[in-house]
Amino acid sequence: MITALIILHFFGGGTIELFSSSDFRTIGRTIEDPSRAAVATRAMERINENLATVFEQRKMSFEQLAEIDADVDAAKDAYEKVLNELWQVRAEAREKYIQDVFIMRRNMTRVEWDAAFGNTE
Amino acid sequence: MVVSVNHRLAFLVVVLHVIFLSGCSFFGDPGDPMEALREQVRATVADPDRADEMLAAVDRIDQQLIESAEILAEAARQEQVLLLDYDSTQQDFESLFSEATRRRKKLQQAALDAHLEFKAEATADEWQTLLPAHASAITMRLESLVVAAMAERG
Repeated sequence: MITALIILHFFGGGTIELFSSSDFRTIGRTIEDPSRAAVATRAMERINENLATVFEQRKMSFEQLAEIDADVDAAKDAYEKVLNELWQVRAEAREKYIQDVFIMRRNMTRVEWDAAFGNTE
Repeated sequence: MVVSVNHRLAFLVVVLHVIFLSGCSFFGDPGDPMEALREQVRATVADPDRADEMLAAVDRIDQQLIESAEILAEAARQEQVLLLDYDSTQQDFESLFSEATRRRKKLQQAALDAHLEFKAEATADEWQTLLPAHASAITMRLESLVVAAMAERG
């Protein structure tokens, strides 16, 4: 599965959903308080949406870079402009991702968190 | 069901790091794609001096890819630890991402420089011949390195 997802990303096809419908059900069952469960699952939805947005930007950036690369005389700053824009989008997405992870955590007790994400295998 | 979430967490961090941190894959086939590129350079560029310069650039790019994949895999492993730790802080995550990003940007810059050195040695016709092999080689090489590094780290 890990390999499949990485390959998916490197080939730039499809969209990413980090959390599946079964994960949402698991979280919904693990968190006892429905209002906290609603906040946590909304954060999970935003993480999925955030990843899809960055994924699309990354795909666009690579297409732009491929166009630039086709020109044997392309200047370095043409590459850097696209790469810097992509880093900026990634940085913003990382911030949002961290915020959402902690929204999830604030709405889950330690026991709930460990039950959902801990080493329970 | 709990195991499902836990398993998802393991590749969650890989996906995140590929999306948030990976940087060089636009350049870039299965098997040994870099060796295939080297063979294509030898077959395409008649001038041995220029061919040697281009092969040296390929070696430098490959080294950047190896180091990038190692950073990516290690950052993913560290983030998984943070995610599993209920007491980890936002600062812990921010520090991890910032440091991995700083290191990968530096490698990306070095890879871009080597890539441009490679291009600078090629004639327009040679570049058009080499472009497909060059692009696919780098993408596939980074991909295989990341997968290997992640497998090594469990």
